[in-house]
Amino acid sequence: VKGERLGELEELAVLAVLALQPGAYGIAVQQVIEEETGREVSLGAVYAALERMERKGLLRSALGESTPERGGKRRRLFEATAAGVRMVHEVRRAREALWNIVPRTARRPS
Amino acid sequence: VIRPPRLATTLLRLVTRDPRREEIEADLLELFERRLTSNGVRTARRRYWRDVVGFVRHRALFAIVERDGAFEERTGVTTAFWFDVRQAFRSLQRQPAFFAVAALTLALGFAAHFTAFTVVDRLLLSPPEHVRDADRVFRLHVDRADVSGGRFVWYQTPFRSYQDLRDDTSSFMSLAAYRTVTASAGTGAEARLINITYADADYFPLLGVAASHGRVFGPDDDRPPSGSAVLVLSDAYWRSAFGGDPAVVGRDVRIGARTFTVIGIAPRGFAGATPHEVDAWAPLHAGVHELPQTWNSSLLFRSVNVLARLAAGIAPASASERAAAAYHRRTEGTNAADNTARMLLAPLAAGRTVTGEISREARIALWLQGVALLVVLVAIANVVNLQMSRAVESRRELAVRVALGADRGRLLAKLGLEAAIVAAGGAAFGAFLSYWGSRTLHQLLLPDISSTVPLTRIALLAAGTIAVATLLLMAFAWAQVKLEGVSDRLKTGRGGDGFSRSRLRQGLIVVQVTMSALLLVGAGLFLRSMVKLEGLQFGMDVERVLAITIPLRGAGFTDEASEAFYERALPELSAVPGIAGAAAAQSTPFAPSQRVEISVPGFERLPLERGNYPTFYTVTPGFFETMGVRIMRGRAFTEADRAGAPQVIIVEEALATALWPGADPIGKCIRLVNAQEPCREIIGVASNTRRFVATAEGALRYYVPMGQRVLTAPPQALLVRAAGDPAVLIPSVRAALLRARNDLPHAQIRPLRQMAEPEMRPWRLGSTLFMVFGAAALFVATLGVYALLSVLVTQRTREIGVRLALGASPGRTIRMVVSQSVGWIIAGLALGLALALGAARFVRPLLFETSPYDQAVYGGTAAVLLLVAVAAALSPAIRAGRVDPSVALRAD
Repeated sequence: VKGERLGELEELAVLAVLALQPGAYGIAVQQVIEEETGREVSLGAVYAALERMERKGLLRSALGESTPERGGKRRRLFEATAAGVRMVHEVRRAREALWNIVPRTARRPS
Repeated sequence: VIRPPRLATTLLRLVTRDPRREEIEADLLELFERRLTSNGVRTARRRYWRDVVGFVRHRALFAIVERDGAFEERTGVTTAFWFDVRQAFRSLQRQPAFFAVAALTLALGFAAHFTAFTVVDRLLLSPPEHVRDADRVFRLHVDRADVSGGRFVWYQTPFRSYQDLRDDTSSFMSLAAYRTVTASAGTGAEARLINITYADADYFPLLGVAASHGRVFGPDDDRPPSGSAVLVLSDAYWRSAFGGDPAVVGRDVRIGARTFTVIGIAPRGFAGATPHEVDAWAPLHAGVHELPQTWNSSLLFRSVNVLARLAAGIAPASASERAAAAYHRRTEGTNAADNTARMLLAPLAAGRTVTGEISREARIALWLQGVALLVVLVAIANVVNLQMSRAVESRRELAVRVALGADRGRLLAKLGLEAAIVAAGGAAFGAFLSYWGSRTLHQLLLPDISSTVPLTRIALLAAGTIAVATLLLMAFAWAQVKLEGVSDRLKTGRGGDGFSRSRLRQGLIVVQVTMSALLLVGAGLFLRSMVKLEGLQFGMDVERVLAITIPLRGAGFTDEASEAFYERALPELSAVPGIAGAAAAQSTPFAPSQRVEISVPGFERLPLERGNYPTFYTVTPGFFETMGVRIMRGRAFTEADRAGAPQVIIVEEALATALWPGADPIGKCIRLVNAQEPCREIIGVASNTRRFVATAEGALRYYVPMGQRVLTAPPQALLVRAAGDPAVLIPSVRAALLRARNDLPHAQIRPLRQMAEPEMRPWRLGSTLFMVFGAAALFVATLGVYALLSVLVTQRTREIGVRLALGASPGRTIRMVVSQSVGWIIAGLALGLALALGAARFVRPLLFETSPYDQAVYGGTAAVLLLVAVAAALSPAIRAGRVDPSVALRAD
């Protein structure tokens, strides 16, 4: 059913939010994804993914404290909801189940 | 504090309207600050731009294609459409070279188109800024019979006639009077020259202009006899001379002989009713101390320019008729000339002449607009051509989709989208190019017309251009799909090229060459005009002479004081090192000439052409040597030719020949003004001079010594001859003038050559733009020939391989390919030259002493195009010669 599957970037975004607790916000999420996957991800895509996750109820957000940098503007901080955490765990379980039935010889990248 | 690039932030704000924009902006700012400390300003800025562009791109292309259909629900636009948009971008992304070349090609065409438009717009479309309902406001001129039987348009009107007219026409139009003069602001070394408009109290209300600071002047400031000395500054003058300080209101400024108090600043961009810049405005009566006493009573002294605002519902034609009737009632019985006078209402646009016709500059600008459209067409033809040479893949894809029963509308939409993206890319880049282009052009060619950027009209033009280009590109792409037929395309696989398709492409090349030839002929003709113009012989050493004009009368100098100053200035100037001679004259040589009635003993009627009445020029004895005007016979003036001595005159050769062909004029005499005057003996014949660039009219001239002048006015100009480059002497000349009198108003010192410049401008405009556009078209057409041949050679690799395998030499192969391209060029060339010959007579009035059928130009165009064709064909041809038969035959 629509809204219950996770896109790849969405999955990465939820994981990044979990990894960055409690300080997960737009550019931090983008950076962590870029660093860990070695891929360039556009800020726009990250924002869109975060927003979508929020609408699906997998993430929630609130404005943080005001900081002296960034012109005194507050950050929007994200955290995963229980549904979000459940969702990434499901994905992980599904993947591991699949890995377990992949023959040993096919596991090494060529 | 170093801030991120403002433009990028603005772009971001324009694109994102969502509630989280501020947070996103703050995120970007944080990134920027971090990079600033770790990578430096340049990197931080670059990365900021990259992030913003990346963000915007994502928003524009992907975020809208929400898979959950929210967007579709909200807007009613099908996701399929957005899918197509995405597809179009992706397919262009896969072929960046095609996109880049196509967009660049279009950009060149569009840049020409937009640039020409800014000039046309300035000259013909845009009214002066800040004038309310400018299309109801006109310049009013009187068209009056002339003594010689012709008609003459007077730009200025006597103040008394203006008052009468104003009273008699108030039921259908309101009038305002003004006069604009050049005056010196300040004195001595700090003096500078400004254009000041003295206007009556109706001027600002008529134009509908209010002050941005302070106030404008009204009826209380303009009371006879001398008004109040109050001043309104133009925004530009206020900024440049007073640093934009609002406290300048209330301050005193000395202008000429009078001290004025600043009462207001005009709104930014307002420069008067005409496009020529004005620096300050003062009440009409506050400037009359410069005028003769009879300025407001005389019916001969034309002291003011008149503006008219027509009442609502009155057509210009009927207003001018009714105004003429009012004028006739007042002048009835005075003279025949006024009884047949007409009132001309000329629009305010810069490109209109006094009679409302399109000026030479504007006509050239219109031509250029047409030419620019040709460049656009050449560019579009080229993009169509490129489209056809695009990787076979996309065509196969289309064919497959058609075969599978794809919806035609959808396919058309896809083609249209691609075309629109290419066109918009071209337009964006073209607008960028034309921004710089039109600024340079304006400074170069229309320096005394204030510049404005017609943003709305440019945006409309760009939108229209993109739409038309898109439709054309789409139509061709569709025609291509239809032409080749679906099944053919599927069968031929990669490589082959249908017969009809290559015919269409060759046709396009021929069209491009035709248009290039047309443009090159235009460029050549204008270039030749320009060369002729640059080499124009004035009969004077224009390169060596500085002309000096000083507004002495405006500064309160009496005629006697002026005279005394000139007498002291001449020896001071002659003593300056590097100066080889100095003279005073009634005006600068390029100023409008003056005439009086003349009669010559022995002639009942002078054997002269109509409109070529002899004009006089009053000079001191040093004039001929200073200006390099040769005395062919007799002698020049000397100090002895003063008042009281026998009256003498020098005639120009042309006048001597006209009056006494073949005979010696020395010793004959000419009577000036009327029969009571003594007949002046001709003591010399001077070489001919030319004082107008455009026409030889007014060429008949005679010289009168300053000491025996016809009119009482003192000299108005000083001329000095430099031993070398005159421009370097300007500071020492200024110092010498101040030695002669230290309270002098601003002296305008200009190389004489520069004074001929305004008249040369229309030709410069034409030749510059024609050449740039011609070069752009040639470049685009070359690209077209090259691209087409490259593709043909690739497609014919197999055939060429067979030929080579059968024993054809590489040289022969190269010749074959080259001669094929030469064939198209010759066809296009012939067509282009024929069209140019047909259009030639229309450009004749725009050329300067150049025949529109100039053989060298036509020959040169043919040579250049052939050369270019061979050059463009050479590289693909050589590639054809190097085809390896075994490889070619194995392929496919």
